[in-house]
Amino acid sequence: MGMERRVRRAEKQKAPKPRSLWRDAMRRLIRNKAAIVGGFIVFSLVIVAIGANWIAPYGYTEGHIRDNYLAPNSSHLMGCDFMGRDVLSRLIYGARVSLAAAFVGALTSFLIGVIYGLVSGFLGGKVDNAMMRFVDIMFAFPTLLLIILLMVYFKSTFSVIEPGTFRGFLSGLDRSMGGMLFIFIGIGITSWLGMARLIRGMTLSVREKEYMEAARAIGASRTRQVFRHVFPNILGPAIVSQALQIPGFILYEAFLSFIGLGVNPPTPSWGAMLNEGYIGMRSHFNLVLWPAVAISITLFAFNFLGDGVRDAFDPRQTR
Amino acid sequence: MKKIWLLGLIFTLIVGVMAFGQVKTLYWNLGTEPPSLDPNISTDTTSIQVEQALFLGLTDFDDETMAVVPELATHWEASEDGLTWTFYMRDDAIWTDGTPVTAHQVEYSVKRTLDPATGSSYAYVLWIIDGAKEFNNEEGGTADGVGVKAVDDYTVQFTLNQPAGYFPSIAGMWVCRPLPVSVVEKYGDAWTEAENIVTNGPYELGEWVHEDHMILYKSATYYDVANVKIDQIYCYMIEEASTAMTMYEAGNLDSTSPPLEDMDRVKAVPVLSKELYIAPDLCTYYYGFNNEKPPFDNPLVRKAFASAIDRQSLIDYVLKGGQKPAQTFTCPGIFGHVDGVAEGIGYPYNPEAAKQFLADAGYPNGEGFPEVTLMHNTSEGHSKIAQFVAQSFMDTLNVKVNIVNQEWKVYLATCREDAPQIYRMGWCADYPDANNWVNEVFNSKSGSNYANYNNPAYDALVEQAAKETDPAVRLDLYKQAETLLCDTDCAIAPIYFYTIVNLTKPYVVRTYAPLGGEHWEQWDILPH
Amino acid sequence: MFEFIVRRILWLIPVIFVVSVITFVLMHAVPGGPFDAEKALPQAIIDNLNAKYHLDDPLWKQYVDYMYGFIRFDLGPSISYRSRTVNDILAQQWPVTAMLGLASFAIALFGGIPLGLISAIKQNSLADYASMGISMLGLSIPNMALGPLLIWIFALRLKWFPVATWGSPIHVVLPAITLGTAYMASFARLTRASMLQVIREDYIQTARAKGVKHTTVMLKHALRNALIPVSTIAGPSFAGIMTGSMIVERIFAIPGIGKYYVTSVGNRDYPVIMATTLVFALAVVFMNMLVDISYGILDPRIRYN
Repeated sequence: MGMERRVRRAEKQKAPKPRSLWRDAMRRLIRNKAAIVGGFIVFSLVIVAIGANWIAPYGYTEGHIRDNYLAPNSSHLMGCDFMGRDVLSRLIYGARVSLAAAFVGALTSFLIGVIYGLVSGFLGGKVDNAMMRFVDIMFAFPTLLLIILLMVYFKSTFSVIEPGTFRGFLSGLDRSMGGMLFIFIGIGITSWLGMARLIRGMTLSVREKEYMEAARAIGASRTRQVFRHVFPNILGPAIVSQALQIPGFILYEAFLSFIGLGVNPPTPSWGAMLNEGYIGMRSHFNLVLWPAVAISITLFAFNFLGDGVRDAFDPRQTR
Repeated sequence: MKKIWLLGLIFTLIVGVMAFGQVKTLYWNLGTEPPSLDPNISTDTTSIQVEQALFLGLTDFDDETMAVVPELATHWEASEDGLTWTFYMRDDAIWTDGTPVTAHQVEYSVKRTLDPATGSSYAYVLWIIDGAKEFNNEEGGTADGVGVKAVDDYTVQFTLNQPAGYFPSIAGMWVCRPLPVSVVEKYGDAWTEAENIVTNGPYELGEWVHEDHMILYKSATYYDVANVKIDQIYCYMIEEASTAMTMYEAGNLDSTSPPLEDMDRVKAVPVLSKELYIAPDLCTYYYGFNNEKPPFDNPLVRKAFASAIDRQSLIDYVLKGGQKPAQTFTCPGIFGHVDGVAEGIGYPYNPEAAKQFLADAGYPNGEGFPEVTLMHNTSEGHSKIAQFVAQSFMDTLNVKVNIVNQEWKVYLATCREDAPQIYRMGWCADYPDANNWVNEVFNSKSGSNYANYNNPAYDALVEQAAKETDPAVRLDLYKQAETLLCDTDCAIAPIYFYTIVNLTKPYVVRTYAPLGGEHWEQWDILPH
Repeated sequence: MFEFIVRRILWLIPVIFVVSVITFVLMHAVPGGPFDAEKALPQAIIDNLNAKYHLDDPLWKQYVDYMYGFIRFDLGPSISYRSRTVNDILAQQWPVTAMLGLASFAIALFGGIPLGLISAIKQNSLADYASMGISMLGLSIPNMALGPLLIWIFALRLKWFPVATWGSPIHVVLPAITLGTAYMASFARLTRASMLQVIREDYIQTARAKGVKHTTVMLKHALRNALIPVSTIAGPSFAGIMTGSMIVERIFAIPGIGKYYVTSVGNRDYPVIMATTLVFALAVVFMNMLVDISYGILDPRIRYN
């Protein structure tokens, strides 16, 4: 018991180290002007997305068919779409979809990757070898082709209305989310590989560290080992990696919605709006311009922020 | 030897060009790669369009009157009982390899279509021929048992298993067109490639770069080549209507269908509005109700929904192509069409009546009405219509409507297995007779009857009409059938009759083929 | 080196196995079949068609038959395009996508590296900010926005390039720019970053101390080493360009394999879906192998074992 307490105390003394890493990172991040601008835009987008109900001048399904393709005017600053719905309002609500894809996509791929990487790294040996070979193989699977197949599968198999069954539950959930559920799952399934590899490598290296030896010596359980030692150490690199992937997730959502495998209408998504807009580009340029601007600014902001986060956590690698 | 021949050809071409000015080329958009140029196999409009130019049928349709007119067959006759049809073919039609077009090739083509090994999707339209179904379904029938026979080189005889007044239009369909037997046998599935194919129509296949373009040349062996004015047709395969529209405006295409999004501008810009052509097409767009799914098993509910669709506003604000509101199923221009608006058959937009119907069904002001699922296949255009119609339902009937879309193949499977309460579907004519509509779609035994409409009286009417030969009696039978389908039972809600919406450059002199298969051989291009 | 290549080729076996099984299972799990059509076919006709394409066999047999054909380079018939086999389709459509991919990759490489180089040499100058700003912009405009924009400006307004379609070198320009811009941007950023890192290393400082001209140091010594990290992303980038061409192919009406893939999934053209996925997977593995080889040429310290 005495031994364990000492180790715990040792752990506590070690603990400030990661915290100071965080503080350093934050300090570096704040000094990075581009990252601040990016962060500010992302923050505003989050506010806009959350407060869409109050900020948007109209609802995203609200409008009269009489007003279809209305040119921009004082009551509809960006004009109206083919259903007479306010473009500005739909852009504002559309931020929800893009940001959800960004964060939930990052979260699902993070969770899958972390679990897979931890399991692989901890079990080690043949299991680890097999699991990592599988990751290598999946890296050869063309992501876009896989995600198209997956989305067609999800959209078709789960578009039934069957109350009471699991299928029915999932399809109901997806419908109530405007078709976003399966986008999240699709992104998660196709984007966890890098994270798994990273986590597994980190787990292996952390496992060899002295304090882990110590923790093992006193018989600390594996879960405890993971949560106390591995997580704090791998969180930084994991966040960096996810931050850099976020623009990719936003693009996936836009891509899927653009080819008609994304959100269900009338849920507004910038990708879907781009698709609707570009068909009529020659007549109504505003319908393609604004979603394009919105998506570009968002990607711009996330790219800057991602760069900043990476530089902050890993100052040697100034890219 | 071959080189000399080629030199000769080039010489002729140069002389031709010098004599008549430039080579007349039509730049056309097929919209997609033709899945197959094998007439026995094709089912889609793109393939059929090209086949129309490459292969001659026994009969053809007149673009104006939609009457069956002679093509390879100069005339034909039916026996007293209407079961035996004899077609007398012209003897001056030849293939591009110089061999004559004969009745034996028609017989070969019909039997090849029916051969189960061919795997022809449209084989079923020939099941009215005696022994055809048995051969096609491998129910003990043989090729020899099929009721088609070349009596001599230029006479072909069909024996049917039931009288069918519309048979001459079937005989002209692509599945019956004579084929170059030796070429088909020699190359198998690849016989339709540009380097192998032998044709007999006004145009021949010069070049086929898959997924990219196709060039058709005026065929020197066509029997009426003297009257073909356009020398070559350059076919693009552009899927996006907006890209095609852009190319049309840039002068790269001579004709296109403008996307909906551009309709306001097309109508507003003087140059474009002069090039715009709108004419009735032979298709109907409808929303079907699953007649077995509560609460849509109640005719009053169906009537309420059918009355709640503001068809004219849909056309004015969403479709913008001058479509006609529909209250009955068979579209105008088809024998057996009933003018529902004039005769008061079917349900026009009437919000008050709609509310009343719903109240009569036990749901005053939509109270207690369950959520409704309205399903369509994934597509920009259908989505717009669905959103509009759903809004109509919600505003008028105060019910909650969920719009669900499914990718095409899945959607078809869903409709076939268990259609949703409301589903969207369209139907286009294969031949201009109501049998192709009311019988082939909503007969309770039909595979396309996704509405699960089942009324024995209706089945009896349409089956009787198919066998009947007196046109006046048939018309009356079809009117009764439409009344049951769209009024008394209100099994479906017809929405609108399609129109052809087309932009064509002013220097193209053209016709419009409502049944598909444009007659390029009748067109011309003026100097410009 | 030889042993390395042999091992990489053997590696293809598990890749093909896993990719083919996943694709096969997924595509057959999707409801609807190749013969569902608007005008519903009688069951007897569908039975005929299924028999013709052996779709009535048990699934495991269909898989085994397909893979047996695959290893003999017989990819089977296309179900929706009857006159062509899948071999024909790949032979006709793949070169188009490859051509588009190569052009985009060239733009990315020969645009991105100089851009990054200028940025690094003139660090913190106006040129640096400008080229990094452009890169950031390129990285942030998605294909489906850039393509229409380029058409609008260069084809409709200025009329310098054709609107769409394929066939001559001039047709390649706009789609290649659309597809290549994002990758150009990431090449530029990576080149700049690794240049900045390399020039801090000792041997560069030494060369500089010896009085070698700044530009010479940069181009001769630094660039070579800075390109090593760039070469590591070249493989995945090329693979990304190739598989990412579907939207560009659709917008510009290009007869490539990417657009074809989307259509085939819609048509349930099983042999085409399988073949396309496998060929793409092979291409990815092959590109990565090339990268590893070029990596060794750029950096002699790396050994293959």
